[in-house]
Amino acid sequence: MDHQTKQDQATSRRKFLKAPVVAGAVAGAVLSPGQLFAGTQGAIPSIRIPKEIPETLTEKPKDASFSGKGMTGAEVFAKLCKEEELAAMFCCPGNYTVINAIAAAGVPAYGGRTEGAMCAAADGFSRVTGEVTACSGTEGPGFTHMIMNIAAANSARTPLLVLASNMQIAGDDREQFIQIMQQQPLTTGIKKYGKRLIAPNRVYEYGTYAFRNLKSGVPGPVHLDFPGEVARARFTDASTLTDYYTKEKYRTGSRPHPSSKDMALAIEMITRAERPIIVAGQGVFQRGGCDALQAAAEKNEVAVVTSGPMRGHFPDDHRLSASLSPDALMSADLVVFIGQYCMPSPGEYRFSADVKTIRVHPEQDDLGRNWPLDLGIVSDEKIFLDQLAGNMPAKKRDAWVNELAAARKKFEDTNLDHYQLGLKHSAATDHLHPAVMAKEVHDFLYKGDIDPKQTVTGCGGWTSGIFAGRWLRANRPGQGVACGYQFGAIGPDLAMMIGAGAAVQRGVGPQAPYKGAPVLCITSDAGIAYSLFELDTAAKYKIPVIAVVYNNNSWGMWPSAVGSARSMHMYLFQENLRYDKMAEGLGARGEYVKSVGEFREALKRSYHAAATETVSSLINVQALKEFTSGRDYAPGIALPPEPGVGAFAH
Amino acid sequence: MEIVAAVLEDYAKRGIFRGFSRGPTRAGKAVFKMLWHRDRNFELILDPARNTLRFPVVLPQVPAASAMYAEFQQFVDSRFAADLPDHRRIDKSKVAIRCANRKGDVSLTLTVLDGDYQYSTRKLVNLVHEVFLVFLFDGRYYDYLVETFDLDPDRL
Repeated sequence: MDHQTKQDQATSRRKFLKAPVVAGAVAGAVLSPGQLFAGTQGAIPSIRIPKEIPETLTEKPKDASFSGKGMTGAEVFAKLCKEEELAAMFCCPGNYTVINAIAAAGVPAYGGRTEGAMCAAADGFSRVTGEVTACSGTEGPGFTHMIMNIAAANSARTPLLVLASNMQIAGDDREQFIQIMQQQPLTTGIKKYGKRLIAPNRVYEYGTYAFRNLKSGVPGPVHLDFPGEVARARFTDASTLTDYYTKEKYRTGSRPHPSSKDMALAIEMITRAERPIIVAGQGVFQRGGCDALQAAAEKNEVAVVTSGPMRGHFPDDHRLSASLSPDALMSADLVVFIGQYCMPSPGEYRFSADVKTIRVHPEQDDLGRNWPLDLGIVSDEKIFLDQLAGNMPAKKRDAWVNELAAARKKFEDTNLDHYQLGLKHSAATDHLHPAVMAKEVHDFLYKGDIDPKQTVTGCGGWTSGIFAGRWLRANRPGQGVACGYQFGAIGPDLAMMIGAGAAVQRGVGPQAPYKGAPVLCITSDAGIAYSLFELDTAAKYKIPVIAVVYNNNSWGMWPSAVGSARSMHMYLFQENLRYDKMAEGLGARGEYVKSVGEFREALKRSYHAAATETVSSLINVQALKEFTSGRDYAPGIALPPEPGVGAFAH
Repeated sequence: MEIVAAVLEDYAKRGIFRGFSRGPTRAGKAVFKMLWHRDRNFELILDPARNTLRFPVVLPQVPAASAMYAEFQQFVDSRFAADLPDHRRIDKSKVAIRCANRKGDVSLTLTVLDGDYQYSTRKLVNLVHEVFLVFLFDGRYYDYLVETFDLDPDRL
């Protein structure tokens, strides 16, 4: 087939996809990638899912036991993971004995294209469910590939179990064969707990260490390395395993309670304040305090703003939400940090220099870090909020509620002004401005026929993430992922959202009412390079994802090279790269847009394909790098106020 | 003078300033130094004889004829607006605030009208706080932040 013929066929395919939409029959436009390629590629085989994938996914779990040949160390550990209800494992092959055992035990398992992306997927699954998840990679190269996303999970305080093989103890220090390295030191500073297992008979014991850390106190990544001697050891009798007892014995659900004196003081301070605000972080979500948060806030009319993984657990559209009211933050006279594990310093959050502070945290040794306290309370988040809801007097704060509403309107009006400017720039340049991209996604998800609470979204990239953050909403638990939260990694976004999509596909936790719904990710051309291949993973597992890629031909920080000799080339890519074509090559749909009208239709087609055929799409939004500059194209980059929608620092 | 010092020391104790010191008083003027927004050193000069508090450099490298400087002045004026809630408004019966621009260095001078130095100090500190946390967050000044403060995602 010559080049021209291929091009004609591609054009025909695009026309074919577009034609019914123009006629208003979106449903007719959807074909699976396999079908599409089958009719056009002649002798070139179609992309298809091998039969072994659905076959092995539907096999029954296999119970391991001490009888017969007994259990391997990997099976002992896998059995523990199953008993601890490990929600999912994302991996690339490697650490074979362990991942096979975990999959066989019945833990939902996903195999992807890079270890780093699989780590981000596990993080994404956890961020929208609150569950403990695992990632795994082979020793050395596979493990080191995960580092960026282990660090991202650590910043978000995700309860992430990081697993890796680690060659053999017998080969230590000999540089025998390949992939030898000390792995534990590499996660220093980005994990809560870690251990290279060296005593085979302690494999269960260290598994309990892992789950105690994952499920108690402030969560964070736990990193276990499995040398071959541990993973492949055989056990035919429980008596050979140390500390082999159930979870009731190795961890406790007991939690710290606030003292009655502290509680009384907190209630007095809140009640006396005129404009109190709660900053609710990951701890409120992890400890199940969201309902109590809402009850307490409503009883005393306390404003609430959420951070990081708490997005949506106090709905953006609640009248007491300050997440869309950045202008009101400066008015708060009392801030109550609850479960805010990643603490900002004064000046990082948009609060008055005179604001008083209460912080509630389950561990005494973190109180007073970064942000000086007027009152520090050691308490579990849920218990504190339960007591607050129960004991705080009812109070009306009409002026404060009205100020929140006025600030919300001002924020939304500002966003609309940006959109209008973006429309002008888009029309003038025949490229899509990021403010337009973000607003159109907003209208499509929240103002059209789709249940506005249905779609889980996440965003990343620099320019794309900043504009998208202002428009994406989280109006129910687990609806929004701040992909860049605190660590600011460019790139894990799509993989993280595929992990979130796996959670929605299974209807885990807060995703249950929206089981099977598509998820949407807005990312950048810089970011997509890190996760693009996971569209293969999404296709393989039929996880419906819509990836909107803001393609401005550059790294978002290209202005840093302006005026610097011999530098700009480092910040630029080839122009007009076709990420949509790459997606098609991976078994997803591809869309290319440059105008508002094209983008709207592409969103419709992509969502329909995702919702009805579980087919993922990538929409290449062609833009210009110059849109980043406020000097040339107002509004430029309006940095997100922290805390609130779009915030990603703390 | 002691009232102003006490207010500023309180901000330092509460972490608003990352560093703080009180310099010697010369010619009746007290100079306070603080490490504050964008890890920059600020100076606040108290002149009791003139009833003024002055930050000689709030923002550097803002040309006097630029739109940014005009917008900065509008921002400062807006802090006195009648439609602001009481707790956010600066009371013009108590203080006057003047912007100046010397070779690109933008200064703010507050004149205390009623002798209430505590109120005046708090309002001036909060005004500068808002310049960095509200005014500069407008996308129009993104290029300025990059060029003047080396803003990048590693240094927000």
